Order: sequence, then structure tokens, then C-alpha cells
Amino acid sequence: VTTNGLVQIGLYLALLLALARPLGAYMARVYDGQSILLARLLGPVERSIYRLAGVQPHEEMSWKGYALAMLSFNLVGLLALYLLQRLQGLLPLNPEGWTGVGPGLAFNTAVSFATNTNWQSYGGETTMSYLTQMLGLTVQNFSSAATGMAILVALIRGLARHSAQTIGNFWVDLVRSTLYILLPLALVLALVLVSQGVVQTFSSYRTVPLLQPTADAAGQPVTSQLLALGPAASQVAIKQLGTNGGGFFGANSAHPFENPTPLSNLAEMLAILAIPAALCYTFGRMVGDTRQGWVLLAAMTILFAGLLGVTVAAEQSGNPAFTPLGVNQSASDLQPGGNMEGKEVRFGIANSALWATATTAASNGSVNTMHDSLTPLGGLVPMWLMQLGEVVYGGVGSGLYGMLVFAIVAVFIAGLMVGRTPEYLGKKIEAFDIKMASLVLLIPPLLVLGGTALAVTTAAGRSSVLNPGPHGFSEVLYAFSSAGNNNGSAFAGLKADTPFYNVALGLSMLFARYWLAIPTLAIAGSLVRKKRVPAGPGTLPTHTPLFALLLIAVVLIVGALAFFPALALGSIAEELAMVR
Amino acid sequence: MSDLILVVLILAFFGASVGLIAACQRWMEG
Repeated sequence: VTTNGLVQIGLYLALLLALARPLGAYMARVYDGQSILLARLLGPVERSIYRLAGVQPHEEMSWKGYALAMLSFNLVGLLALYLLQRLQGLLPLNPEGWTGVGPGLAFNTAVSFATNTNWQSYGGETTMSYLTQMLGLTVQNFSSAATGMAILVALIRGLARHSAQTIGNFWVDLVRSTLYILLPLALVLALVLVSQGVVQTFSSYRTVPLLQPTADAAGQPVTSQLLALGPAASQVAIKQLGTNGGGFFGANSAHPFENPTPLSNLAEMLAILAIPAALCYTFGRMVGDTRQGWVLLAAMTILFAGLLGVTVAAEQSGNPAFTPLGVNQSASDLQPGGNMEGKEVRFGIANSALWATATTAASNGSVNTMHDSLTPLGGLVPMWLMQLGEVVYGGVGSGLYGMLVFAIVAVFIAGLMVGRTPEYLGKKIEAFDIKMASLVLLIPPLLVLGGTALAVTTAAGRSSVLNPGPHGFSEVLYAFSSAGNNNGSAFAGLKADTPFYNVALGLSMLFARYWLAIPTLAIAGSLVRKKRVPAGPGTLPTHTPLFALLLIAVVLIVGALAFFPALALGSIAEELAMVR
Repeated sequence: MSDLILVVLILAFFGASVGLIAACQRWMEG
């Protein structure tokens, strides 16, 4: 690893952790309904939305009411996005004249964006009108992120309140997340991105003369190129901040119009993890003990740094099979060294590995490097981070509620070891809570491993695999790991726009999102009713380094037990073949 | 694949999700 790379990674982590407290404190004020400066400006807008929608903002909901509101809102959004794609050929803001998206792809994409996955079996610039990108995909980027944040806040209230029945009002949490957190941050980030050269225009695609004319395969001179344009900056900002990840262009943030400079790259990478990391502090503030938030943030950061180290080392080491061929893979002032296949020269090894790790630690899935071209171990880490449940910072809201479920399981395991009733934040953890936590932990492995098994044992699944052998298996496993954890990044090399993959991955995304959200809200509903038990001599303190280590161990052990056999057939077999 | 089948698939999933909410509620109440 080069010093330059280490300095950039260190700067990134320092900025991320420095943001956690101010942003986290601000979000706690938003969710607690305390006065914030922006409310003076946007308060009338907020109240108008409630009036128009017939929402009584002071009426709170039971967990069931909250879950039904969340489901109905997401169903309407999903159907609207499906319809918008199908009808885009008849609608305005379509300068390239794209026809309606086919039913299978429209289904997959609608599910993908509503579930905060943003898996893309299409290239944006060759499929979607500007209207679909803005009114459909960008709007879902906001609303799916706000949905995740709302579910988290409901769970936090379940832990913070006692002897109560309600966990908040879904519509209020949704509106406040969007209006006071996501929109202002997205506006600022979009302006930063525009300043760096990210495009934002309604103009049609433009033909420009090539600075260096070339020739095509038939030897004919090529002197011009068609440049895809569009309102990209406004979509890129929220796709990063909302841990959505769906690119405006097919190449995502490897495209120079989506991520032109090292500075835009830093801003976009920070945007991936800023809200998930800061929500740990929000959690601490809302439960009245910030140490509880810091310990979760510490556990996440240790996991992140450790796995990032593996990716950076693997990518910087390159491919040992090249060494006997005389290829110089060492870093110098003239070259980044290591494995540069699929990477942008303007980002190099450190920033590509850092992005790949951050985007899969979160449920983001945007890319600035092609993950299919990562070394076997460099590719294993992003895949395993998704398989861990995306709880290492994780998606906005979903990452922390996933980690809180792991925390509940961790105190349960500790309780089993010492023979005491497990407690978390003064709440007794009982059979129902553990049953719900088990659903949250077991559904994603079932989707990932079951989906992969189905794909590799059926002709419909195998016919899309373009690379036979361990790498082809990894591509299928990666696709289901991505869909089954709502990430959205891909290993590529897999022809995914087929009826089998559109439906199988679409269903995986639906179950991964909503069948985890429902048990999480049920846990909130169960915890909120309970009395607070004062800490006794048998209580496991959950604000200590020991608890952070226990939590890390539980996350790693569950992830290893579930996925190492499958990883052994793909990435690990490839690594062994490479170093043999 | 037709629009109808896919829309029915979406509605069936959300219907099943409402069923899951009801099942969890019953489970909670023992």
C-alpha cells in the first residue's frame, strides 16, 4: 500500500467520523421534533404536505399501523414507477425518443428502486427518458432512503420508550427525513458535483468532434462521438446520500460525467457512509446515552477498516501470474501498480478499493471501478460485506436497524453463556424478540443461497452465465448477494436482463427489504410495551469495548457460517488457482 | 411476460406482507 493511498484513506475515515457527531445530533433533533433552523424555512411546506395528504402529525401509530403505512406507501411508489417506465415513450422530457421499457425490466427496475437496491439490468443513457430518471428513479431514491430511516427511528423509539403502545407516525418520519435531511444534503452535494463537472441539463445528447480521430474495426475513420447528457447531478447526489447507488449512466460513478475528479470522488464516497455512520450518534442521543451509539460506530469502523485493508492489499498486490511474464506491478511515481484492470486511472488503487468496500458495506451499490475485475480476494470482501447483512455502517436506516438486531442477538448469546435473562437498554429480550431477530438474520442467507442454487441448477439460470467455472459461480452468487441484501452493485459478466433473473432477483429484493422491515417493526412494537428494568449485577453493559468485540464476533461468525461454503466454490477457489 | 402477471405478482407479494404483519401480531400476543 502506498503512503499516498494510506493518507487518502486516513483522510476519508477522519472526515467520516468527524461528521458523525454534528450530523447525528442534527438528525436526532429532526426526529425528536425539536426546533431546527430549516423548519423556519420549510415548516410551511411540511404542514402543507400533511394538510394535503390528510395526515394528523400528532397521531402516533402502533407498530402494525406503522408497518401498513410503510407498505402502502411503497406499493404505490413501486406501481407508479412501473407505469412511468412503461409509458415513457408517450411522455415529455424524452429528447432521445426512448420507447417504453419492457415489462420484465420495468418490474425489476421498479422493485429495485423502491427497495433501495438500485440493481440495474439496463444502461441509463440507452433506456430511460429524462422524465423517468427524474420523476421515477430520483424520487424513489429519496423515498426509499426516507423509508429506511423511518423504520430505524421507529425501532429506536421502541428501545427508548417504555410501557407505551406507539412508535411514532410513519408519515411524519418520512416527510421530516426527506425535507430536513435528504433534500438539503442532496442540494448541497449536487452543487458541489456540478462545480466538478457532473452534467445537469435537459439538452439532448451531443455529437462532438474527437480530439484524437481514430478508426473503427473496418478501418473507416471515426472523427466524432455522441455524448450522453442529462440531469445527472441531481440524481447522483441522492443516489450516494440515500445509499441507493443506481447510476444515471451505465458505467455509474466510473463515468466522467457522473464522477469527474478526485474531489467529486471524495465527496461521493463520503456521501455513501455519512448518514449511516451519523445515525449511530442519533441513536445514542435518542436513547439518552451517546455511549451506546459510539460503541456501535466503533464496532462498524473496526469491521470496515479490517476488511478495507484486505481489499486494498489484494488490489495493490496485483496478479502473481503476471510477474513471470515480466509485468511490473509495483507502485511508483509513474504508475499506481497492482491490479488496474477495470479501474479508472484518475482514482487509482486506494480510491477504487475504498469505494468498492464502502459501497458494499453500505447498501449503496454504486461503483467507480468494475467489481468483476477485482482480484479474487479483493472481490470476496465486497461480496462478504453484503452477505454480512450490510450492517457495517450499512444502508441509511437499514444498516443500523440491522446492527441493532445483531446487538439484540449478541446480548441473547451473552445471556445464554452466563445464564441470565438478556437485556438491552433496560428492556428484557424475550422469545418473541429473538424469533423476529432470527427472521431478520435468516431471510437474507435463504434468499442468497437459495437463489444462487436455483440459478446454477436450472437451464434458465445457467444460460446467462458467460464465464464458466468459479468466476461464473461468483457472478451468480454476487448477483443474489446484491439483490438479497438490497445493495445493487454487480459483478457483471452475467446476462441479467432475462425473465428468470428479472423475476428471481426482483423477488429477492422485495423479500430482503420488506420481510426484514416487518419483523424489525414488530421488535419495536414488542419492546415499546415493556417496562424498563434497572441495570443489575447480571446486566451485560452494552457501552463497553467488550460489547463491541462481542458484536463484531457475532456479525462475523453468522456471516462466516452462512456463506463461507459458497465463497469457497467461487472467490476462494479462484484465489487458490491464482497463487498456485 | 405480460403486465398483468407482473402487477399481480407485485400485489400478491404485498398481500402476503400484510399477512406477515398479521402473523407477527398474533405471534406477539402469544
